[in-house]
Amino acid sequence: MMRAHQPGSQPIDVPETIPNPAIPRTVPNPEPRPSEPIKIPAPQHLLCVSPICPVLDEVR
Amino acid sequence: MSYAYRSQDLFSLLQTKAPVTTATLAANCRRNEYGLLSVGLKIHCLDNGEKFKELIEGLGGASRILDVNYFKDARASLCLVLPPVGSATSAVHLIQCIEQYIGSPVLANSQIQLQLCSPGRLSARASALLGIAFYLGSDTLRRYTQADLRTTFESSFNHPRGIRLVLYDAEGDFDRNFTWWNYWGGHEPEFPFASGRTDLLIGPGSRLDIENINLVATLLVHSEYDGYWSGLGQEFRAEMEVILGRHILAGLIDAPWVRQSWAQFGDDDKFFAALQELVAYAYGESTRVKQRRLLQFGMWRNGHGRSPNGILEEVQRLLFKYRKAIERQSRLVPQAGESP
Repeated sequence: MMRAHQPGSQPIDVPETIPNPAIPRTVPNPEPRPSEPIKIPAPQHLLCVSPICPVLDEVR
Repeated sequence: MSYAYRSQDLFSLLQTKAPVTTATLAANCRRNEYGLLSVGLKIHCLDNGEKFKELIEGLGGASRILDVNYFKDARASLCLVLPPVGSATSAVHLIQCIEQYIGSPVLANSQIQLQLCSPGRLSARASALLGIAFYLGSDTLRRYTQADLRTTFESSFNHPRGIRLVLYDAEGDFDRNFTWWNYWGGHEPEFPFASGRTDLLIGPGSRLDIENINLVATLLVHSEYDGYWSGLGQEFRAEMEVILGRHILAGLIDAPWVRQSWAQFGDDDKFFAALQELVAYAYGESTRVKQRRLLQFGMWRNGHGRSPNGILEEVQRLLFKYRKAIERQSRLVPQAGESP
């Protein structure tokens, strides 16, 4: 904030930056940034669907 | 502008924390878009610069990377010079990679002042138009003090730059090996000038700032160096001057927006008075636009809607119009490798 003061009037606080009202705020970014790969945890054995998985034998 | 490391070394480092964005950047970093100019960036860090420590160490250490450059914002702890890239898109990708590497925002960060470097020295009048178009086209309206614009070259003996928003380079390295669209649409492998830049101290910048400055600098540089966009550049200058005239701001163009070699005593203050006039008008316009919108809402309900026509909206429309014109007309230019 900057304080502006003229003699004979109350000082007012003026913000150092304000948004430009001519720029629509709702327009999405036209070019999305490339997304980094998401690390997916290794599948749990009990969820494994492979018919040759040895852990499934125990379940069977 | 000198940076004492190779682009590849920077990309290798950034790849460790931002692999996808860095791969995109590395593949396109010298690619030209629509015949627009290349983009150089300097990051002036106003806090202690701790976040950049790992990056700087990885590039060879402060003594090798930072101390070779005497130029920086007078308040900055460090000024990191980045390698120039072929387009505004690549410049934004480069910043995004750095943001991911340091784990902190670079854009819209009050502790980071960006300096955008465009190849080609503009005339005093074109420099004024560049500064004014940047300010009115930005997504943020800023108030300045002279302290915001002081650099270590303010009163340099060899290259005094004064206290300005627009700065010429102080010689040093210049990478001219970027594609230049000549007057007939031919793709030259290098710029028609061997050196010279026009820079803007944009403060906490945004993606839009980078894109706008790249667009306006291209139009102005092409208009002064007979490039392919020379005709559009001349039209842009004329339209910009009409807008300023309509708002009784035409006199701002005559202020010393960039320090020329024939600068006179007191020019810093003359420029700053012009900048303050522009800022005051833009802040006032911002208030008027909001009031008009409220009023129009009532008029719209009564069926008498009319678009508000302030300078901020006029400049947005102007930038949009020329961006679209460049995109449209660039399709008429045979791309490199194509037969005409």
